[in-house]
Amino acid sequence: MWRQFYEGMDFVHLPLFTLLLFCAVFFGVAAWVFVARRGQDYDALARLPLAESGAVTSDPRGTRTHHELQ
Amino acid sequence: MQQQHIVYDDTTTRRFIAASMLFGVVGLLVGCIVAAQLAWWQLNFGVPYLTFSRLRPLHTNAVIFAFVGNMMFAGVYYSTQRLLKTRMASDLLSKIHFWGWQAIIVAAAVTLPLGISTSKEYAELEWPIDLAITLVWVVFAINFFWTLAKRNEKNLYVAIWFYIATIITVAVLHIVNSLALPLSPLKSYSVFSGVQDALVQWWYGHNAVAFFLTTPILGIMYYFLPKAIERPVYSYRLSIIHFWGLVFMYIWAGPHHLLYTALPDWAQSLGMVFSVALWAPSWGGMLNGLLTLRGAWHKLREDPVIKFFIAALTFYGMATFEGPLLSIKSVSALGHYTDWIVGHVHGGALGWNGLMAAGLFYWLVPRLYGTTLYSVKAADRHFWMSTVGILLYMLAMWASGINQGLMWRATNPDGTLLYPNFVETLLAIRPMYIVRFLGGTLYLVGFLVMVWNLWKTARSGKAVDGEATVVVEQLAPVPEVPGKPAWVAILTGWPLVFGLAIIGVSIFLGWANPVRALVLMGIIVALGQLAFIVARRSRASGNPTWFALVEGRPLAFTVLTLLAVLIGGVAELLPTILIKQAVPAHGEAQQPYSPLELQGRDLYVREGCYVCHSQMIRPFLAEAQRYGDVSRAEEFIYDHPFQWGSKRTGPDLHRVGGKYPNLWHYTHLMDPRATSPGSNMPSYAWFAENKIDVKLAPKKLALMRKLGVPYTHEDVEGAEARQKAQAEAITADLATQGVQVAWDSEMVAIVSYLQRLGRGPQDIQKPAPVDPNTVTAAGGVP
Repeated sequence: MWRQFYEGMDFVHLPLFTLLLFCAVFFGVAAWVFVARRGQDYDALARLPLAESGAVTSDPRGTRTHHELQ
Repeated sequence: MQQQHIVYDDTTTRRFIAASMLFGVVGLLVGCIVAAQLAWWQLNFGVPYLTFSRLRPLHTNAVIFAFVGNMMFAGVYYSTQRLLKTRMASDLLSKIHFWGWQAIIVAAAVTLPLGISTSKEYAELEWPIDLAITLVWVVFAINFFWTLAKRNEKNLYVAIWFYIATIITVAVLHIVNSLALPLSPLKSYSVFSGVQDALVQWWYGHNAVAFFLTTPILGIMYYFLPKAIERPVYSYRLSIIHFWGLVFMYIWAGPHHLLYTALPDWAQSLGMVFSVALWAPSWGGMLNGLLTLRGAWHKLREDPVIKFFIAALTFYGMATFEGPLLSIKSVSALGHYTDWIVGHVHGGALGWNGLMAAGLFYWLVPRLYGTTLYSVKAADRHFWMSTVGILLYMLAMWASGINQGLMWRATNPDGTLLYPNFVETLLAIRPMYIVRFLGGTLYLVGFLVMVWNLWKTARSGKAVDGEATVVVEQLAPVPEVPGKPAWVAILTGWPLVFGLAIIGVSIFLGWANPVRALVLMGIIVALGQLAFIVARRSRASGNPTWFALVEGRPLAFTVLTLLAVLIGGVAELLPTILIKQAVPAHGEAQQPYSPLELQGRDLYVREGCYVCHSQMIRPFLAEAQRYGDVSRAEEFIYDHPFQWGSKRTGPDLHRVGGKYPNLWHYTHLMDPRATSPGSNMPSYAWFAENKIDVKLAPKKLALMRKLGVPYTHEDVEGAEARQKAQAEAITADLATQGVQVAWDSEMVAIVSYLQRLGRGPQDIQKPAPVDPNTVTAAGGVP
């Protein structure tokens, strides 16, 4: 089967192969964003433009502490 | 824990805003002039530098790179500093970026009216300016990535993602599409030719729209819209999908500009599929922006900034609905080359970019000058003038375009063309050209009101730079994944491993028998399920997510984005670039241009004839009846650069060679209405007065040899003599009709080129006598 694939390979197969690859990666990303992560993971990120008065420093797990200045 | 006091560099932002407004006025004004010229051809006043075909590239470049470009930089500089909680890395680089970009714009404004052009749409600037663009872009990139490196905020907000994608993709597009060999300091030839050049050009052209006019403005939207509404974006999840959807899909969509051309069919279909798929992420992004206003719709009535942003998003939605629609082959068959495309483009440029710019400026200028907006009422009036102006423009162009498309293809019951004279179709749409001019002018007046309003606002305040004090936590340097460097953790992360495994299995799917395919699909589902379980367990056990690893690392993120763009670009371009297209299927048209024809071709490029005339006959009965045999890929192999065009204000010229005598072309170029009553083409009488540089002929042939055109040494050495012989044959022919013109005039060269189109070189004696009822060697019908 794989021999067939490589024997018949010419440059026109390249876009088809890459198309498949792209679709798989894209749908993978979409599924991962919507299924594998919780909504709360994004809340702090979404608030970044509104949190200019202080600093937001995240630890390696992505959780954050807001330091609003007095 | 330590406190840092930051003073942001807002001077650069103010400069870019001022430049954007200045060049916005220039770009829109030139747009109004060229719109008026289509309705009243006399408005170039006989001056070459004011002619439609030279001003139109100036209009597009001014609006895209000067107006929107400067606006984009203003938004990027302002938001990047605040999102990363740091000042731009280098004030010097910011200055070089600003002044360098303005110098490039001035260079464009001087060279384009002079006819110094590559003829590649939205990339018309010649090679020294291209080099300058590259240098200034690199300066911008260094400054941006350096700022990323010294940031105080670990996480990268989605707007920064869009900026990163813009910086790297525009660099790739610009460099590849600008590859050329210089003939002189102001003239070069593209290294690509024909079909390859067309594909590279529209890969660039479409992605210039995507990554210069869309992604950075989306980044600006994701930052400034929440700021203006004072609430976070509706769905951060959706913004991630929006980003990756655009990065993955946009890069493939370029061939939808070449549907039904001589481009290979697979490339056309691929472009169409990805264009239609773009509907989803584009509308996801639009809805994400609109829904950010949920629960605060009353602000839409009160705040002009929000009015502009929401209207801009609505136009984004309209343009990204219409774009995929026009990419469907059967719709493109009607709409391509017509004013429908012009209407679509202006919906995006005036509606999406223009209104976003207005919202951005109304929000920024009062803050940058520590004051309030001078007149909310004037801003409201600007909003309505802009909106009505755009609608007038778009409706006129839709009506005009659909009218044109239908008239071009209309046939009588016996199959002959209902409107065989092209000018008939032009006269039918003239009222729409006038309405378009009025709509554009209304938009310009509204823009001037904004400039006045913001000028008064700035005068009522004083320039202030934003300041912030941030608290920076010095976290203990713990390894993010115990025992693994970060890049290893990214490369061996579960999402990547499972993703590659699923792709690996998918490859074999297409070559399997039904039973094996079923097994393979079961494996794919199982892998997906396993990935989900592993991700959950990994998070429950406290390990960092793969997303957190990538998202906090600009380098990893940039490399992934670059890979997505490069793989898509290479997969699309490589097959067409490497394919052996020089098959002698049509020997005569595959002979290189004669020296005089080559000189004439350069004049065709200089004058921008491609702006109104295509050289691509599509495989439709009506087109074949009107223009001749369908164009074939192998006919363009020596066209450096290609001249297919993208709009037909005049008829296609691919097979105009031999259709009319030399005298017809001379008369037509001197006074188009003498041969085509009702035409809106301006006179090109300066062709008869100007002289070509006869000494350049051998140099041009020698350069073409380097590009792969099969000229011999003898061809190069004898170029001047051959050029003169062909020119004298044409002047002799014209003299018999009572027209005296110098053999080395531009007129003779351009006529020789036009007579060559769709045929072989016309200065070579043919062995067999021609039928007296067909075309003569001099190019005319006896």
